[in-house]
Amino acid sequence: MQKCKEKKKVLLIKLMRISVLQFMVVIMLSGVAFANPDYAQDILNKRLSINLKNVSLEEALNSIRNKVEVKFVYSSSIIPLKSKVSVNASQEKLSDVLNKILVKLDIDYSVNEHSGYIILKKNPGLVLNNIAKDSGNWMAGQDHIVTGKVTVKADGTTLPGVSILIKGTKIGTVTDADGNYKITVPNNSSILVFTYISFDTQEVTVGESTVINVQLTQNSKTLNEVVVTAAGIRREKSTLGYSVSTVNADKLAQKSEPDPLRALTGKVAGVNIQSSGGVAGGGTNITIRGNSSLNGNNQPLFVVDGVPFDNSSFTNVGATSVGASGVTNRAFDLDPNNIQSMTVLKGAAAAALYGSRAANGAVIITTKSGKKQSRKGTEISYSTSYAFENVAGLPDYQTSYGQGTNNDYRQGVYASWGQPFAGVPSILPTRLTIPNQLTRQFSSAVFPQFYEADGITPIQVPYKSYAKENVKNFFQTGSLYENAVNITSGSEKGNFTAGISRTTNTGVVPNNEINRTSINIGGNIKLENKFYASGSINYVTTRQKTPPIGGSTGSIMSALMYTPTSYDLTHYPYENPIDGTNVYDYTGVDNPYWSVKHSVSTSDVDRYYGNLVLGFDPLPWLNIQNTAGFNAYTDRRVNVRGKGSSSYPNGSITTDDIYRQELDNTLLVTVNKAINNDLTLKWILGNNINQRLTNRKAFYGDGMIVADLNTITNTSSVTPVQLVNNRNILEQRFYAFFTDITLDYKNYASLNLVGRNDISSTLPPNNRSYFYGGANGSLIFTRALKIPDNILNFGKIRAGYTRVGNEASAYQTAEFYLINSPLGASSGTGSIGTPFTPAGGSTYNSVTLANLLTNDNLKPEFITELELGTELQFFDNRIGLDFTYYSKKSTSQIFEVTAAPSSGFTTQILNLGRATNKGIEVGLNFSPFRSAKGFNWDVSTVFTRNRNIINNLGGYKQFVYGGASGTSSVHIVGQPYGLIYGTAYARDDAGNILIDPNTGKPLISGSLQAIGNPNPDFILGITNNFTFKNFSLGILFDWKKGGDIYSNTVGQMMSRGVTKDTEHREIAIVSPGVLGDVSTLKPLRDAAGKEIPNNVAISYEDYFFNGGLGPGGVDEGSIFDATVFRLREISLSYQLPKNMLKGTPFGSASISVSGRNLWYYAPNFPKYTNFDPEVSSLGVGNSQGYDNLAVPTTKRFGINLRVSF
Amino acid sequence: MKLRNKRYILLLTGIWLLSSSCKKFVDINADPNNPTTAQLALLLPSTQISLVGNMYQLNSGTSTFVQQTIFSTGQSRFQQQGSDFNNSWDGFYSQTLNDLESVINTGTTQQQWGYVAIAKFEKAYLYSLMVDMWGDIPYTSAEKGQQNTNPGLDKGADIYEKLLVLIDEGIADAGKITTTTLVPASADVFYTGTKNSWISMANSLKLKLFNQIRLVDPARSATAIKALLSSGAPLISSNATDFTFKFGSNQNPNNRHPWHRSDYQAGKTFYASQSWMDLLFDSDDPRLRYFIFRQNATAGLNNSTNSNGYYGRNPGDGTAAPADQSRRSVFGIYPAGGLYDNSPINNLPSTNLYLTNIGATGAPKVVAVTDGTGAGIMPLITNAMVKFTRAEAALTLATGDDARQNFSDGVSANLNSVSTYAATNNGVALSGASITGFVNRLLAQYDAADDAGKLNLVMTQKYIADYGNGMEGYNDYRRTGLPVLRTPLSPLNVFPLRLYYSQTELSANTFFSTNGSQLQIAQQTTPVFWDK
Repeated sequence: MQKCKEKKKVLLIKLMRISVLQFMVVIMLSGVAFANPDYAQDILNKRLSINLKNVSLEEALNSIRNKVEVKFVYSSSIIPLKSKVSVNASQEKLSDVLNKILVKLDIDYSVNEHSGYIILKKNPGLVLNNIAKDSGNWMAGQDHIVTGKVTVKADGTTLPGVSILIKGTKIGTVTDADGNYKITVPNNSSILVFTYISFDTQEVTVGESTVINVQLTQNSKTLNEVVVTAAGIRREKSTLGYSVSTVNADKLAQKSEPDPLRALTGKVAGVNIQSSGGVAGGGTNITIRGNSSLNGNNQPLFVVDGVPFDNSSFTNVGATSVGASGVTNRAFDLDPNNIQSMTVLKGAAAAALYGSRAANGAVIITTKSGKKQSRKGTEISYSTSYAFENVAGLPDYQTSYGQGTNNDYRQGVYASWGQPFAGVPSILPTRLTIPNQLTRQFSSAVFPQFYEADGITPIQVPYKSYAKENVKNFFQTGSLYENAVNITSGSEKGNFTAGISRTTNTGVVPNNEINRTSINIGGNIKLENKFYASGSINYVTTRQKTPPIGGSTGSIMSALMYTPTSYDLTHYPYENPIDGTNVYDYTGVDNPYWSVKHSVSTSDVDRYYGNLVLGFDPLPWLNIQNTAGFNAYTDRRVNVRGKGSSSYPNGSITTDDIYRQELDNTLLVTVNKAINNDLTLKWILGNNINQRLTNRKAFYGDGMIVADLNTITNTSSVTPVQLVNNRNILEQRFYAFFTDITLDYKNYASLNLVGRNDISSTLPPNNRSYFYGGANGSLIFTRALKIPDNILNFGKIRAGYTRVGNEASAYQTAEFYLINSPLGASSGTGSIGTPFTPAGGSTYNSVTLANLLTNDNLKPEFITELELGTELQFFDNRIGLDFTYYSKKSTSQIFEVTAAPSSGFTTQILNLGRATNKGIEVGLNFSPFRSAKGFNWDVSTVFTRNRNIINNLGGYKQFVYGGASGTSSVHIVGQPYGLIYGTAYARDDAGNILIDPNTGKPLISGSLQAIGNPNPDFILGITNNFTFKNFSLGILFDWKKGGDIYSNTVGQMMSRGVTKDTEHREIAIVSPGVLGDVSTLKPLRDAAGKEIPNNVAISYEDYFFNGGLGPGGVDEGSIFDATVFRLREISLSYQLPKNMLKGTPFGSASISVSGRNLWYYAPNFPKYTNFDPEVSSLGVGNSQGYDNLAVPTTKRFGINLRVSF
Repeated sequence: MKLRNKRYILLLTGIWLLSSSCKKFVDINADPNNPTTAQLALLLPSTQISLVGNMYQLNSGTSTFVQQTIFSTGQSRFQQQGSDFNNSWDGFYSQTLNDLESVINTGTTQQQWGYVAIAKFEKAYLYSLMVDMWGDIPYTSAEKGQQNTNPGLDKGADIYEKLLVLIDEGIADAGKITTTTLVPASADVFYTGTKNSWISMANSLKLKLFNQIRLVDPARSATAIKALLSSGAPLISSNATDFTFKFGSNQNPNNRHPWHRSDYQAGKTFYASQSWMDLLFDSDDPRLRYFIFRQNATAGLNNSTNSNGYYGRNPGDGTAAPADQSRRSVFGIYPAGGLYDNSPINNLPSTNLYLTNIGATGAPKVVAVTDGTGAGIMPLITNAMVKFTRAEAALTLATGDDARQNFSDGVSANLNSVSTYAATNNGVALSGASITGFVNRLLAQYDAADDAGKLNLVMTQKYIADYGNGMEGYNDYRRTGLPVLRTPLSPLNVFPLRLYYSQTELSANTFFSTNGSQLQIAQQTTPVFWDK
């Protein structure tokens, strides 16, 4: 009886459902031949039959368009669309047909090799061949003949169809298929004007030259840009009803940034990228248009060459967790050198076809090997770059006071509130020497050199400041070294691409490095029948090494930044000369030098992904294409806590093998038909099948036997590690049917309807099928209303309303038990491991009901988004504005939140709530300066502002989740997403802090509270591009306004008294606030009933170090506004002129220097901490705004070289 | 055209073949990692391990309030925070009680009365303890899962009444088992299934509860205790039937006593309580060597270097900790499973008879994870506790019981317990003569004291015998105000009469959400119902 309930709902669409296998069978049976029409250079050779009499040119063009699937680009104010034309042809070449129609009208045309469009231009009053063949010289009697070649500046490809006009005359020509031209000019002072649609016009004075080669630069704002939207559908950007942003290779590669996501920072409006600090290979969090899922994944979907690309960031397990910040997110496996373009689909409208997984937007990446368009000829390019990196900013340490408390020198105390150094002007007695610090814990048997001859009396060492060098010396200069070779070879039939690249990034922390080697092969081929195929395969290995980072006691950062100023970290030994164990002044904490040598964890990723595309064009208006893809990796991690560590002397090794696999198949049937002369229809039916599998196995090996041998067999006992809810294997699947209908009216209006039905394995059977979709449209009103283009040369409005459904994660519907799960606290000294063997007893195995309250009636969650936008171009594209407003509402959210423990569970799966994200994205481009000499200045700014509000939590007031080190995140109704939650000051109704009258210190609120909002107010990125001849200079500046961060680093540095901020300390402070009652947490009142301002002074040290108002007290004291200004990226490049390359094997060469993060300014942090808030200790996830002793950010300088043969 | 038609027929046939498998394709949401049902024999041990596993915060915190140790500076200064007892509360409800409900429900369905009886005893014990700690807690609406995700509070007094009924139900359920074991030995960590032991535990729990509420309705308590004693119902009357959890020595998985885990490593959480060590030192109590181990022979208060090594902190000391991790006194062999302190003690009064340096041949050392077995114990209801309770009831309720005898039995039961434990864990046993002598000296003091003095002696000895279980000391202190504790150095609040609720509960339970903070603050000053 339970037969496919979903079937009825989607019966129609289901008819299209075919598996790859069957698809192939059908194809083989049919066996007919046709050529794939997608290839630009074939366009003019297409044959068609047409018979038109006395119709308007417009109708004729439409008719041709529908027959041979080509697009025409023209300016309706120049091309006489109403002119009557006639044509009769039978299976003639398109070029011949066009000649028949256009020559009479004095219209020239050319094919844009990039877009495949046919561009129509009115001839400037002279007769031209459509494609000039030795046709330049029309003016008899002149003998100054100029020849040359026109190429695209960016990649050196030739440009056919470029119009060349002698300025002030009507004399001109166009370039031939190979970009060559020949023209006779009247005299030496003639100026040649090179124009080509979507390229900047260039003027060159002829002078004595007989050969003038010209490189044209593509307009920064290309009107007829074609973008790849969801499911690989290529659409003209100007007709889209939603906002997308494309970033090309030249903006991503060779920028001294190995992480493809970080390279996007500041370049796309609506995208917020948060890196986790200066760890080589640290995680990068990316969200588009804010967080919409309250608890689920908010990372966008990554699609590489049509196949989903997992960007998970698995947190470490086991006792040696190095903290999430050290864990790479798997988008790192993409080499920026192999990326052709990245398209960001920001909203639900754009991403609806990808279904639930793209509910947070999608990043569509086309790799060089996956590129479908072929290009004739063979090109080999090689690029290399080297960059070095340093910590971007270190605190200014105070140099007056040493280790200790209460102005007194104390050994082993992790604070610098001690006695002043000799020579420091102070009312306190100063001190000249101290006994060698290491003698506190180590006898003369270990360090005889630190003792006098008697072996008992410690030697005296100078009591002075080492603060200026301790931290500085620890960090090293890191490097980034990239090499990439790419080979492309192609013909009209197809092409082949292969590439190999290697990136090695050595971090600023010793022994931290990540390297990535990737190999890719791709190709495409057109068969003589109607088939075509393409495919690519990639293999990537990513190897990461990381010493322990993140706040735990074995971490290198746990004490580094606030090492007591009088401790000589650089020169004191860090290893016990007898047994190699840790040597440090502070008990229980490992010396960072020791950790980087003995506690290095590794992650070895091997990733394979690829796709196979098979296409078939049975009829001129019908295309069937199937894309099958796979993407899998293994991540083999070994987490090490070295033997002899002070935090865990036995040492331990945790192995964690993660296997992640994704299989995906998409079948598309595309119908492309003209309904009438004005209206064309593109109708896509699709089917998508997907499976994701995670299989993870972790083992904990306790007690290393031999030091520094990091294999789990080198431990004395091995036990399996239980993941959360013991979920080692996670498997989920869905299949979906979708349709995408686009109606184009004339060349200015477009309507797009999208619908999709998903059937997901993770939802209960009665709810597992769900439908969603939307509509969007655009109107180019400048064309529709025929607005003169002298000021506003392009204007478009767009609108869309879309709903996207989202599935649950696996296994959230049924209750389950855990076998031999740790009981009591889940970790730490309070827990009891199982199986349990009491003293003298036998072993007890156990099962316990899991603490996850599952929900057997889960329904899909939905995100609804309204998007409105406009694109305007002024003054011949000199100024361009792209403005988007969106309002996104997430409802019936599936989220795992803390449950009331008294219900019997600690987490529960809910299916309720509502959150909204509203925001604007502005892209503004303008060219303040352009000169005939080729000096151009272009500015492009992106502005992102998002406001998210939790509207409803289904009756709950707040939900707490995530977090670290006592603080966590909280959703509160009526408040922004994911506030920082922690201990707070007790306050009176007016917000004054209550002060304990006995101690002068603040009282602590009775319950944890929201203490900060990590969501930034806005993000602004400004890129200035200067080009002059072969030079180009790009400067990216960004400004992130607002957004709080809980900074344990700053809190600790302040509380431990190490920076200059706390140098002037020989004073007492009366904290602002009013006196309060310690029991009731209400303000105390005087006889008149008035609150009493605090009148109790405390020492400067207590203010910071011992629960005062400073950052060392409650969590609230360590909350800072993370506003930051930054010079993100600067690059100066030089394209070597062709004549310089003569005699070399190189076809082109460019050299550039680049710098990243060269300057930043975070005004709201204590001045001398020099803190860069672009760190996140929680890495990737929905808990943001935490710095728990993160590794500081880095700055890089690099030099890059690219040559092609 | 013909060819095309054929093509479509083929296509449709393929689709038809394929579509029948679609349900199977997505029917994969059954968790392949975990079972969805549980055997009682595996579930019951889980409840017992988690019962004790979740006590760590609670035990350490209450031990701090009554100055038996110092777990956190804030608690030592009577300042509570919402996360102080989070783990215990959350774990009791989500692990222990949840699994107990499961055992009771499934066991009742399957008529496995032995499991049901034990689960009811554990449930009654745990809920009564939680009422003692927090006052009003969720009971009737708790553990309902989806049916009630926001349980409200029940009055502590009401819960107590229900628990007394529950114990009787459990005894009746146990009565349905005719064999000597309620459940197989492999399913019961506490008593390896022994029926008599569980019945003794149940009756002892009733005795404890009736005594606990004696201030509210003395007549009722007196009657109930008299009836219990005269009924011949077995109580825990020998150390062998102590309701005590025995930890293991395995480190991986870690089965050790949490105090051992916490103190026998470089980074320590605890300080020894100076008042606790002084109490034992000053009263010539031989148990000091068992309870406390010194890492240094001369360290003293404020990290001084000329004392006797008993270096802890005074209650309520708010100053920052110096780097003294290798100098602090740590937990000894009992109950944490650490080391027996067999080193000479400086400055011992020459008059000492029981805490002496005779045979003290050891040397202090900096402890490491390899020191001691970690196989400590968690005393829940012991023979000694039962005896002291009877003594207290006899003195205050005139139950007719022999207070002096019970006092004497209680002290010697504890000394024997400590001694026996040490002897089997690489420590040194107390001689029988020492135990007798020590008890007799106390009895002489007892005989010389007035009624208040007698009660003070009983409660002080109970306080010492309870060591390892701070909850009982905390209960007794709030009920009797005995023993008189040292005044904390710089308290931040008044002595807490109830514990702070779990921050998790406050945040996640809509029942609390309106005024969680005020309710929380009121806990500090609101007495539990039995605390008059």
